[in-house]
Amino acid sequence: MTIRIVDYTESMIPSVRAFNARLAKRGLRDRFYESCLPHGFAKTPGHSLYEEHFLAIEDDGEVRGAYGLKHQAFWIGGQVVSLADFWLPISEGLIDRAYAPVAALLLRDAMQRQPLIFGLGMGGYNESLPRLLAAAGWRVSSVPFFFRVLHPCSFLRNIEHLRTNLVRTAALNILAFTGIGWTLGKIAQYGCGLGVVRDPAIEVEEVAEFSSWADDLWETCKNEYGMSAVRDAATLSILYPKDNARFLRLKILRRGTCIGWALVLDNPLVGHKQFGNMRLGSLVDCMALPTDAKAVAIAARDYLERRGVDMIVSNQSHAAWQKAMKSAGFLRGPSNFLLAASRPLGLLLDQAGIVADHIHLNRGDGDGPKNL
Amino acid sequence: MAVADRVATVFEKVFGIDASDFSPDIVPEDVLRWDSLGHMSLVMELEEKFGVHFDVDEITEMSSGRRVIELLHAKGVHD
Repeated sequence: MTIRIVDYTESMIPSVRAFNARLAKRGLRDRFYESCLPHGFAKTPGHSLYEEHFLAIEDDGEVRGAYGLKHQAFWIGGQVVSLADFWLPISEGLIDRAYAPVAALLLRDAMQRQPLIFGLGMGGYNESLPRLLAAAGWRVSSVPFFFRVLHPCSFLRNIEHLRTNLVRTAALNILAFTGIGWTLGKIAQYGCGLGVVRDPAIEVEEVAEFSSWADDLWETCKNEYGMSAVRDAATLSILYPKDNARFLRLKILRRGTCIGWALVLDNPLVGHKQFGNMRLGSLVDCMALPTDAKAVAIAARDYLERRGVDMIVSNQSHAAWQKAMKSAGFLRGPSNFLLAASRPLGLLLDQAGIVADHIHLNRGDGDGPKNL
Repeated sequence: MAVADRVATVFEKVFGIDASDFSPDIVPEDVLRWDSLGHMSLVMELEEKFGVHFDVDEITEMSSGRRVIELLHAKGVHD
């Protein structure tokens, strides 16, 4: 078997379709893009944020694997460093053990292109990708998950994560329909919200785009973070384009001065594997000085609550944002959102003295809010 | 110790098979745990045990016990 890794071009689309069809036939949900165009992050001069897609091609032209790299500038230990997110690696080895080497091949190829590489998300420690990365010597850890239930009955009817058997499903239905669940939920929320005092000096503006004020904020905040994706206006405008109506941009001010921003989503879900048919709010991304994180978290929470979402979720790796979420009345839940750092990246972080809770990562990183 | 025997101990460690079940003809289909994850673990263990580094082509060629031994010989690992 001779396999080489090549750039994904238009002529290979039929082979990618055939690859996806073989995976589907064996019951896998994994699919690679059936378009060679980058999904929102085309390489453009002057921008450090861009995507590349690669295919593993056998001699006969058949696609046997694929992966993507999202290159992005990060602020690490006081300087800008280019990293890449290793995402959507799929191997024919998932369905044919004759192609077992392909996954290792994809990973080794990616590391040759960019040794400072990470993976984010991945669905939990038991999934094949984080296990593969751990076997390759990457550091794998979870990014804490936070949630706040606003409408307990809807939560109980829809939270698929808890509906793991008939008994649980019946119990949750009873709690929902009798109103007991609503009462318990409100008691829990009240308990979590005790002591949260809204700052009357805080205002929230919904803005159409990130502009120079985001640059000013980034310059003010960046040195407070051991590691963070560069969150300047140009980068944010690529990540959260103005013409995408899903993205709700909140600019948070104290006495007229911008102290932070939050990027939130308000998603009415249908048949979501974890959240069923809930109207789900997400605090996807955010930036502020650590001392202002609580004000931003509360502002985002209140904005989504006024919109009528059933539940708000967020993943936050930095200690300041974790504390902010708890202060804003969020509970911490089990997380399947993982961070995996390559050995060279791990060494770089060690050398800079950066530990996990100095790193600012959330759902705005990696493959972004595509799955929320 | 012969290279083949040392590779057999790697297979034993990575895949949980008995070293005596290793042969040059062994292929992924013969070994329950020789899947993508197992292959990654095999590459890492061979690199660590023999002090070598496999490039992308070599990782793909590692499709049997015989090829593993041949690749190690090509990298100067001998009995």
